[in-house]
This record gives sequence, C-alpha cells and structure tokens, in this order.
Amino acid sequence: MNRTYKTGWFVFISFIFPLLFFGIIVFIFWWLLPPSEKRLITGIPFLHLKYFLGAIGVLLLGLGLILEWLWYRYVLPVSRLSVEAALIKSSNPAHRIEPSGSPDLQKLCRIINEWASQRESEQADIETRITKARSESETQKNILAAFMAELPEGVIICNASGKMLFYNKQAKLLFAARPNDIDPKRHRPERSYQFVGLGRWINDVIDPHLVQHAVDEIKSKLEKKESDIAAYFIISQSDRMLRVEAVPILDHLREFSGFVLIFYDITAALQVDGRAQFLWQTLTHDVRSAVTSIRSAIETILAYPDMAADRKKRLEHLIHDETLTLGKTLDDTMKEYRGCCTDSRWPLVFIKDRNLINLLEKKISEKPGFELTVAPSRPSMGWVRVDTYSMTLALMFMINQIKQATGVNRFTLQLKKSGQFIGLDIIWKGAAIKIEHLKKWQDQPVVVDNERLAFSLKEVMGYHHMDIGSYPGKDDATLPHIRIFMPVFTSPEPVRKRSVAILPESRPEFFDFDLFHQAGQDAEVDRRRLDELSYTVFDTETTGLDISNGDKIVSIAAVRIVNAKILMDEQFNQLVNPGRKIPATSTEYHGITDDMVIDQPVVEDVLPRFYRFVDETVLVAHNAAFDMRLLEINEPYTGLKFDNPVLDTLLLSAVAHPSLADHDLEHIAKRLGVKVRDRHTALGDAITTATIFLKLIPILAQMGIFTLKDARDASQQTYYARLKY
Amino acid sequence: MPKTVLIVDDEPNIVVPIEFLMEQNGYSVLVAGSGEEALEVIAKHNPDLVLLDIMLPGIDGYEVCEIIRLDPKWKNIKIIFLTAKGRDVDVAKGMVLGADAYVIKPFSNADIIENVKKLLDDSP
Repeated sequence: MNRTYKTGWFVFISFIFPLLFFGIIVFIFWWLLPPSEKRLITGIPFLHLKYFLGAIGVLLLGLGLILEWLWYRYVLPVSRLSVEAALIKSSNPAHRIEPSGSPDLQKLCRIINEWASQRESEQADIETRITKARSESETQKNILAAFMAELPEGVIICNASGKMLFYNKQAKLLFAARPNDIDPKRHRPERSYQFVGLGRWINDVIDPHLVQHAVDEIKSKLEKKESDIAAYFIISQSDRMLRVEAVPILDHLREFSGFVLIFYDITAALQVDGRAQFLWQTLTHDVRSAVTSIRSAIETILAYPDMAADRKKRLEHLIHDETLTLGKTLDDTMKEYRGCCTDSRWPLVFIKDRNLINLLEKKISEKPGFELTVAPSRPSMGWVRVDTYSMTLALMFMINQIKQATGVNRFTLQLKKSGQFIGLDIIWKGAAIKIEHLKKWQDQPVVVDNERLAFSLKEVMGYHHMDIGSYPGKDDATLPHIRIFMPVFTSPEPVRKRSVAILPESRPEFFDFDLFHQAGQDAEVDRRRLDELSYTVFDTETTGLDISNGDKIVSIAAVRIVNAKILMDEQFNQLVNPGRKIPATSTEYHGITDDMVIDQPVVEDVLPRFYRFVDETVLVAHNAAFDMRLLEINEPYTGLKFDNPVLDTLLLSAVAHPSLADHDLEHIAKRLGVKVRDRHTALGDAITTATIFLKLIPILAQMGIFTLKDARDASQQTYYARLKY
Repeated sequence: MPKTVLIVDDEPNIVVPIEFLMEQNGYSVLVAGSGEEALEVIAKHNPDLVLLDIMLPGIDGYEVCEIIRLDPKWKNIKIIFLTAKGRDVDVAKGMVLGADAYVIKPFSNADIIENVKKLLDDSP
C-alpha cells in the first residue's frame, strides 16, 4: 500500500466519519424540533453569519491541526517503523531506525535498534565461526588433494556402485591411452579406449569381474572381521603391470560405502625378478653342461690311460675349453646381474663428489666434539649415489670411533681417486687404526649420540655398494686414514621428477567428495536437474561447412562438466586426418594445416575413443545440430551411434533471451561476461561453450526451466530449432 | 739360491696346481692355509713373494698384508692378491694397502707366472 493512498484514507476516515456522525445527530435533533424552534435556529446563522462561518472555520482548522499532529506523531512513524524493521530483518541487518514520533514510539525504535545490534553481532560471530570452520575443512581437503596428487601410486576412489569419486594424476597417467593402443583395425569401442574421470565407472577401466571379485572379497573379509580387509589383484594396462590394492571405505554406521583402489606399477620390479630368474637358469644350465663334459672327459682319460695320444690331447683341450667357457659364463652373469638386479631399494640420490664432501662437512661441523676440515680437492671426479642421512651418521660414527681409539680430535676429509673408485678419506695425525679394529666397528650398529640407525656400518656401506679400508700413515704426506671406496657414476640416471606439491587456492577439479551423495546416473535422466547432470561439451573443426557433400572433421575437442563444474583436467583434444586436402579458406579460419594432420589418426580411430569419452553424459555443443550431424555421417564407418541426450547453447541462449537476435558464441559470451578463449580452435570453443552453458543454467531456472526435459522442450519451441542442416 | 714363494689359500685344490707350477719355474714353494699360519711361515722363512688370497678364515688377506707392510724388515716381500670375487673394490682396497699386483680368479696359469716373474726377476 503506497503512502499517498494511505494518507487519503486517513484523512477520509478522520474527516468524513465524524462529519457523517455529526450530521446524523443534527438531522435527528432537527427532526424532533417544533417548526417554531426550527425557524429560530435557521435564523441564527443568518443573523450572525460572520460568527457562524468563523466558528466552522476554527473548528475545521483545529481538526486539521489535530489530524496533522496525529499523522506525524503516531501514524507515519508506525508505518515507517514496520518497513524499516522488516528491512533489518530481511536484507540489511546493519540498518538502524531513526527514532521519531511520540516518546513511546521513539522508545520502541531504540529497543528495536538495540535488539538489531545484538542480533547483528551474534550473527557476525556465527559467521566468523562458520567461515573459519569452512576454511579449515577446505584447507584439509586441499592438503589431502595435493598429497594425493603427488603420491607415486595411482589412487582412484569409488562409491559402492563403482562410480569414480576421485582420482589422482598418477591414476590418470596409468590409464591414459597410449598411441600404440589405437589399433587402426579395430573400429569398435574396446577396453583400451578408457577414461578415468569423475562420475565414470571403474568397470570401464578395469575388468568388471576383477572389480566384483575384489568387492566381494572385501565384503566377506569385513563380515568375518578380518584384520587385513584389503583385496589384491594384478592387472595389465598397456605395457605396464599394475598391482592393485582395494581398500573399503565405511560410513559412520560401518556400512560399505565405497572403496579405494591403489595402483602400484610393478613392471620394473617384475622385469628385475624375471631377469634374475633368467640369469639363474642360464647360469645353472651352462655350469651343469660344462661340468658334465669336463667330468666325462677326465674320467675317460683316467679310465683309458693307454688311449692314443692325439685322442687324449683332444680330450685335454676340451677340458681347457670348457673351463674357459665356465669362467666367461661366470663373468657375464656377474656383469648382467650387477647391471639389472643390484639397484638397491634404498633412497640413494645422485650427488657430485665435491658437493657430498661439503655437505658432510657442514652437517658434521654442527656437532661439537672435534674439528673437521675439508682438504682442497681437485676438479670433481664424478657422481656418487648416497643416502646422505645414513652416510653422515656413518662418517660421524667412524670419526667418533677413531677419536676414542686414538685420542685425536682434528680430522680432515679428502677426496682421492682410488682405482675405479672415488676414495673419501678421513685423515688424522696420530696412531693408525688396525684393520682388525675396523672389522669390529663394521659389525656394530651405527650410533651417534642419540641418533641411531637400524643398521651396522657394514650394512650401510653394503647398500651404498661401498666398502671401507683402513690404512696406516707412511710419512707426512700420507697420514693414517680410513678410506670409503665409492663407486663412480659418470652422469646421473634420469631420476623421476617429483614436483613440489602446491596447495591450490581452490580445490583441484578432480577432487570432490560431495559426489558421495550423487544419485545414480542410470536414474531417469530427463527428470534430473540441469545443475546436477554430467555433460560433455564439445566442438569440431572441419574442412568446410558442406558436411553432406564430403567436408570432414579435422579436429574434435571436449571438456566435461560434472557437478556444475568444468573439469579442465578431463579434456579430449584430437586432431584428425580428414583424408583430403584442407581448403586454404578453412585453414585461415581454424589454423589447421595439411601438415598438422598428416600423422594424425583418422576419424574411424578417433570417434570410438570419443564415444567412450562421452559415455553416460549429456552432449552440449554450440549449434549442436551441425556437430551431431557430423557424428551421424560417420556412423556407417564407425558403427557408433551417439544417442546421448543433446543440448544446444545456441538454442538455450535463444530461450533465455528471446528478444535478442544475436546468438553466436561471441555475442552470448559478451552478454554473459564470459571470456572467449582460443576462438575457432575446437578446444577453445568447447571451453567457451561450457562456460556459457553453466551461466545459462541459473537464467533458465528463473524461467522455470529446471530439468533436462524442460530445457529440451523449450529449445524445440524456439525459432532456431526449425533450421535444418 | 732359488727365490721363495708363499702360497696362502684355504682351498687345497687351488694350491696344488700353483705349487707345481711354481716349482716347475724354479721357485721354492711354501704353503699356508690361513692368515695366522701365513704370518708364522713369513716370520720363519721370510719369503720373497706371497700369493695371498683375500677371503681367509680368521685373519684375512688384507690384515696379513697390513702386518707385512707395517714391519720394515719385511719391506722387500712382494705381495700378489688372489681375489675370487672379481669385486673391483677388493682390488682397489688391496692396492692401497701396498700390494704389488693382483690376479682375479678364475685365472690361467699364464696370468700367475707372468706376474710372479715380473716381480721377482726385476728385483735383486
């Protein structure tokens, strides 16, 4: 009710009602009077007209003043009070009411203000606590996500029905399709076209029987309350062998609610085992046959002392030859074995000899009790492999032992070439250490003050493939020393790069445990809300626009939307060899040249992979009819029917803004404040389209378009739907 | 007077042919089956050369070498290490201790003879 209306009503009631009431009383009174008195009374106003009009004027003026006073003091302030109180309650808790009107009303205002202040501070307090709790849990999630991402093992987490809720980088890498998996002879979607992704099924990447077996095993172990509730199995993935550990996730009621799969790449370990096995078999075989011929030859010589000289000579040569063979077999086996099987599992890192000695000096100098200097060394002799922690302790252990045995407390570290080794010498001036003593130290556990290794000095040296010797001094140039013989590596093997885990500001896209509460994708898709469906937003580039007459795909790209979030990490981006020349006009448009596609797979090989990629999602494209027609045209070659539900951002934009005419990607993007990226590349356009699509969803919701069916029905009704390709 | 060679090895089957070989080449031969025994023989006979196996029960080849090299009166004794393991580090360790040469098992007769002759014939 607006204010003028209210005022009029107030005035009407205030004036008309009393006047009416007064009129009725006057009328009754008038009616009861005898005619003589009526005449007398009607005569009075005419007799004293001035006074009469004056009295009425004063009366009306007084009434007006009273009304105004009432209006500003009681009526208006109350009405404002209700509006402002509502404002405080619903939208702006910081608003305060200016006290006005009667003293009672002013008091009421102040009470409401106080109340509002109190509520506001309480609210702020609660909000702070919520924000803090939320940021804490977010940080924890991010730490977990970053940690998971950097694990050397692949990790996939699934819900009870086998849908992926989380995966890390390694898992994605392990299951990434390798180029040699794409078999040109195979045109059906096979297991090798598999994608790890949020909301996808684990059965797509791992044999369903194995998964079922593992889940059954876990459940039965849970029922029996066994201590090891994990299930283990091995799968082969391309050229890798993966050991898989399946661990259950239980909810608060200890019900099975999902499982974690951990993938260990055991390819290298298996190769080493296999190689060692092979070496062992070869060695035994070769030794056995050599020994057999030697024994047979010599027994023959012994049994027939009178045999002809030339025959005897032949047998003797045979024996000699066999011993040479035996020696060679031994050498070869040793060399092979060392080459493949002795790589220790210890955390050895490559370090330049000079850096090592400086590092050791720095670490050891922190400890009091002796003086340590590093002798100036010549240019580096190469790389060594050490676990610096145990090496430092081992060195300090030795220095302490020398100090105890000789009383010396000044030591020098020096690098020296020693045969094929780099010698790391601990040198001192004083009595030498007997080998006998060194041998005893070697069997002792390495203990320095309160730091203790679980290994003896000999074991530490052993896993470094190092050895130690003690040498007496000869003269001032050669003082007593203990030398560590370190194998030299000319250049470090490429070590696996471990990047630093950096906490992302927002959580990585592939990390979303909220998916635990996802409904199954197999439910009636049409009835599902737009913001909870999974989408593949894709775009294609072609040799031209006339696809019915031979224009072909040259590029196809897609991103996924899961939980109303674009998963940038789950992209499909593939150039396609169209098997024909790309017209210059088209190259000008999308930048793809004949050279770029010459080594790329053909569409018959790409679409099966794409088919798997879009599995169980709603397809979204801008001007989808064109792209869908492209897919359809290839159906005879691939045998693949893309029957996913489809949405078109062009149509949806027309639904959202029916009065506007421009529904090309650029105009929509501009309208919705979306940054256009890499326009006219399939991937860039797919990402732009996906962003636009996400912005359209809330606009459509305001128009009452909530479900997939709503969106499709509305699309159909728009004018653009009638365009045919 | 023929030069004396001491063979130290705990494996008799290796000792037998080397002993014969050395005698055939005109050396007088002593044999020890352990480090302790070797030190006794050295103390008694002061040989010109020791063919010294590294892996010995008790006192090992390194220690025998260390003791020989620490005693100035034995400074002229030549030492050849016999190393069975073919581990390069054994050779390096032995050479630093002051050995004159090494032979890796399995060796051929020619390897041994060549090394022994070189060391004994060059010296006075």
